[in-house]
Amino acid sequence: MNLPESFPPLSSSARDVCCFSCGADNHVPVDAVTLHCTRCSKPIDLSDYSIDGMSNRKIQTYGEVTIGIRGKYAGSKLKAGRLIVLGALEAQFECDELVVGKFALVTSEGTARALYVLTGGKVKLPGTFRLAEAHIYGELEVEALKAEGILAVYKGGSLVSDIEASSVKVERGAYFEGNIVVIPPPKPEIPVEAPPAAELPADEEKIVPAEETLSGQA
Amino acid sequence: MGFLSYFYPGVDVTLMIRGELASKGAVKILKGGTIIGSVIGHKISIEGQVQGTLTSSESLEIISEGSVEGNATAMSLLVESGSAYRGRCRIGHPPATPERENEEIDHAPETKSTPSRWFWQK
Repeated sequence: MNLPESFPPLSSSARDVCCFSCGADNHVPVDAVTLHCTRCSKPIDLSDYSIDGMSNRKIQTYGEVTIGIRGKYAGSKLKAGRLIVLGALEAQFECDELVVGKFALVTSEGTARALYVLTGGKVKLPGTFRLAEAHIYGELEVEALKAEGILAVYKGGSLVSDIEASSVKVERGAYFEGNIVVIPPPKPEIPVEAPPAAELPADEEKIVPAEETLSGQA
Repeated sequence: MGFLSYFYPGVDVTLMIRGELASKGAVKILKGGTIIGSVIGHKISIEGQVQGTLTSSESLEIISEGSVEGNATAMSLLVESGSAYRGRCRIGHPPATPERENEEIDHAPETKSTPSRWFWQK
């Protein structure tokens, strides 16, 4: 699978994972495979999975789940750190990164922080899809797409959706059709600082309103 | 107010224009420039404000603190963070339909794909 050059590693050295049972945050090194929650002591899965056939088993992991070219996942909700789809995904998903490869097909609802639709990949989602950023080299068709960051459609990619993002890029050779809403972030208010009293010279004349001076002269 | 067409080599706008602005070259709406009406150009770059339809034969860029309200057609699009855009967009050409791709892959027998002789004789 040819990943784009900008494709980031899953994590650098350590990461925070949230317990599937109690929701407590746990700080773990990236190499860790198993973990027990520091609060409820229940196991948190960090291992990687590979699905090469039909599967509907429950998977909840912070590791990488790969649905192979001949794989199909149609179980209950699938939770993963990174979800790489090369086959078919027909179940609800919740992941940090969703990578949809060549010939893959995603037709179910879900959430992802980042979405990468690689060349030849197809994603057709019902409803509104919210994420932090999206990089589209393949085809994405969704009713509405809301991205907090950049939404980019690269050469050969196609996006048909109503979108809301902080920045949008559609390269030459790509296709986009839909409504766009880009709202600039609110400008941070700069506090107006009053000049310190010590800086004023002590013998400086006081500014007197014009009316007072006139009445004084009279 | 009215129609302004400027063909070579391009046009930079720092004023307020009501009406249509058309150029065969590049169109730059600089900061402080406002257009209420349609803009047609080869490459359109907006740092000011536009209310109307944008038609570019090449690229459309809304940069810096540029603001656009209206529909747009172009071959490529860039809306930078910090700028504002609201409208319907159509960028590039739609990709080939899967049915057509399959037809190319699944080689049909020649007898079926070749048009009958009477068609050519007409």
